[in-house]
Amino acid sequence: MLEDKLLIWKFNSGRREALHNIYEKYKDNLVTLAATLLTDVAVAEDVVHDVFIGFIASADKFRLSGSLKGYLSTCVANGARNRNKAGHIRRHVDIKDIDPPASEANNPATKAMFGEEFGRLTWALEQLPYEQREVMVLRSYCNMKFTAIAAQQNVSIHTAQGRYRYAMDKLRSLMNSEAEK
Amino acid sequence: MTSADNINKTIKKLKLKASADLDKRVHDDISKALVESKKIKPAQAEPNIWRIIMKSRITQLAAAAAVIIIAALMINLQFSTSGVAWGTLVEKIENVQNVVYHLTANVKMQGIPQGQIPNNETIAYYSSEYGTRAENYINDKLSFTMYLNPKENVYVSVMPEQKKYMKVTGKSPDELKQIAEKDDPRVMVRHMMSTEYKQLSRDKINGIDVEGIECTGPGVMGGMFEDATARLWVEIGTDFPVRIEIKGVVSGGQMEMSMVIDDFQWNVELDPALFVPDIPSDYTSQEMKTEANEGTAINGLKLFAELTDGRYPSNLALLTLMKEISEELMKKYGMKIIEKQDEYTSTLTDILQAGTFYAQLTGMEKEAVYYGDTVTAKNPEAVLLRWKVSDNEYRVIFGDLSVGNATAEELANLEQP
Repeated sequence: MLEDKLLIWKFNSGRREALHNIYEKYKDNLVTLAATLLTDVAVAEDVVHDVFIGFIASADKFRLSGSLKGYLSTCVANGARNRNKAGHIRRHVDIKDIDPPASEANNPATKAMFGEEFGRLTWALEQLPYEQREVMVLRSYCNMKFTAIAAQQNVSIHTAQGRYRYAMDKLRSLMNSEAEK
Repeated sequence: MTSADNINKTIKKLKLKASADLDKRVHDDISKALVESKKIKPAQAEPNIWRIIMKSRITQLAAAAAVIIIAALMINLQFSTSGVAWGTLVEKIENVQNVVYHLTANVKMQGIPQGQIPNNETIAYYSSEYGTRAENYINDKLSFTMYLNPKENVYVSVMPEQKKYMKVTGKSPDELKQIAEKDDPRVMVRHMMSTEYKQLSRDKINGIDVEGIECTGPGVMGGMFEDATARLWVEIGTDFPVRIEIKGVVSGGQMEMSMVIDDFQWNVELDPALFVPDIPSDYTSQEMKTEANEGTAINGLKLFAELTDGRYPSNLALLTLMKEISEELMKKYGMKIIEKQDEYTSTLTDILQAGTFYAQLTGMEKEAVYYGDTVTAKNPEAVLLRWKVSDNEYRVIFGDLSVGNATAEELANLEQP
């Protein structure tokens, strides 16, 4: 796979064909990130597509710096949040109202997305409020720092850390209760 | 019970594949944008060069050799000097504190289809204050990062693929400064400006109006080629160089090497941290073989003679030498070179030291002359290679690879047919 520094160099030097390589290198990660946030693969792919359209359109106006993966993940997370706000994705349900599936096999949507192995986790993630799910996924999947997540959500670092703790507690609770069935 | 740690680990394992539909949508949009922008060529499906090379393993040695030759040429990038100077440009460049540039090097070899020799690119950061950092990429993959800071006595290359680093020690700051100057584009420009050149007509490079000069002849690259052409293009208005092109041929054009140095960023601000070697703790040290000297040159000639039953390379121009080594290895070992590629690549590197040493002598204008086209190991008294060491003294390597010193008069007698 192409090294990020060379990709960034090529991109900043006006060699826009580097976009093909950038997409190829990160497409699976970005689709996974968006799908985990939005729990809908088709919408997730639209978000990734939109990110690259934006990338192409603004290619002449800005220069990349820092982490390519971090930059793209942030773009995808922003796109996913906008989609979520726009009501494309069903709203979360309060945890007390959740009727967990009897087993992973009864959860076809998440199983279809990530396979049976991850069905329980993705089902549990789906039950979290969007902001908590976002912190959880950006922290655990993207290795993003709390300062960066807080900046992205426009909240204090303490709020971001709090959301992460709540999310983790809920995930554990949901997954353990579902496993006991 | 599911722990937080387990949840984190499972989230990290989540993996979806982008669909073919998304691939098509994104690639089509990128290609369309590229065509519309007309700034670069329409995108084409790039062949996976490395996979082709792996399939055609017979070319591996030549490919490895090409990589080595490019590295050797970059280490010895030198121009001969004489004559005219283009004062204002040189003065302007001398005042530059920081510069970043991009270097592309390609080798074409007869018999090896184009595209089977790896692409070689370097991004170099040069700072008067902090030294040099050069990142070398082979087929877009980081091959090594070289750090050179004469003030801090740092000269180290870090190779992520091999998880190794090579550190040069025992060099004085002045010696390191001389080595650093080989990567300093200001020095390249200075040398070109003081070489005999012809002016080229105005042109455009990436939409920039430029004027250029051209230097030609075997001496342009310090004797590494049978013939070479170097062009320097300078932006009209800013007077900063925007592109340097170097093309060299050997064996009557059977092999050709081209280098392009472009994407210059003059006087750009550079982070000092860029120049601090980053060596992960699990990397191990490896011996550095970049320093060619009399001893390594003799060893290289000896190894070549062992391959050929006493014959020496006909020419020490690096490209010619590489071609002859590859041919001899193939002749002697045939398909075995595939099985023992590492071993033979090492032999090739060692033999190339003779060419690197010769290039250094030529670059320093030491009156180096090589007689490998006529002298073999069966001519122990004949001069194989000689160079000037002082006003009236020459160093001589004889046909039996013994060495000695000779006055100009003695040398004239020795060299008589």
